[in-house]
Amino acid sequence: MRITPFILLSLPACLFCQVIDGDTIYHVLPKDAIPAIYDPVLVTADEAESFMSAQELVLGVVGPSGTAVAYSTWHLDHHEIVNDVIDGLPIAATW
Amino acid sequence: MFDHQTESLWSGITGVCIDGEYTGSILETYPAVHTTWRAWKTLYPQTQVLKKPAESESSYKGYHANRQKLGIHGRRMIRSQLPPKDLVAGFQLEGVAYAVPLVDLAPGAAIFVDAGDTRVLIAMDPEASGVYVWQDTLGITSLKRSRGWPGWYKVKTKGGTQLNLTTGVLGNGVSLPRLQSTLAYWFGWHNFYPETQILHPQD
Repeated sequence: MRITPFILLSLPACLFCQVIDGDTIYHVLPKDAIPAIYDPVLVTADEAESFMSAQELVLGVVGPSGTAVAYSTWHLDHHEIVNDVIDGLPIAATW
Repeated sequence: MFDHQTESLWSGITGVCIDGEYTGSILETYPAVHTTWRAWKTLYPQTQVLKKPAESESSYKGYHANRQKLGIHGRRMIRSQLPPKDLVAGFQLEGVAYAVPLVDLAPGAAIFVDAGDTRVLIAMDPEASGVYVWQDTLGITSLKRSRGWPGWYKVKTKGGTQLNLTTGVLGNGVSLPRLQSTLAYWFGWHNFYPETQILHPQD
């Protein structure tokens, strides 16, 4: 009895991936393996001196009303997305 | 990027929803600046800052230093117009994607490039890889580095004033429109925008 070809045909086209519009998307990590930040805590520049380095690279954003916010990219290495609201504007800061 | 509320999947570079109820929708981009904490704090002393633990360096320091490794799986790029791991400032104007190689930008200097009918002004932060891209709506005829840091230049236009290339604000209070730009490796930018044009400085 030849079972092997039947088993091969039953496997999905790809493991740990999905095909969207003919393009393959590979799932390298499970969802939320790199946890996004949902409730960012913001502090003043003076308070930030205790945890920021002078050469630390940041994503700097100025909101529609002029509010400035800095997100450290060294920190975003571990989170990749910050969900925040600046001057009423909902943003996703991504890295 | 994945949205839990709508169970939709979005591209982080193009902002397009590729799966789920919002398929085809595009997120609106909002400009951000990539620079050092020291420079940002000088420009915006009232800035708020995301609270976090203290760190000594980026986790990707080794990856950035490696000129051969393309992506986490180590891809290859065949017949590339630029070295694949070269950094570019990528931006779009009227549906056309452009890339300016950072090797063309001397730190602290500013250059003009023509993107279609639009004159674009680009400068690189002398301290970091932060790149600032502006639409030249004033017809600037010359730029000369002036006093102060970060980013003050003497600008020759019909009026003649000072321009801060980091904030885009002129001495008379007028602002240049900031063009949202993405700092990317050439191989990555080209992957999303295969038809991208490479722009070099005007002579």
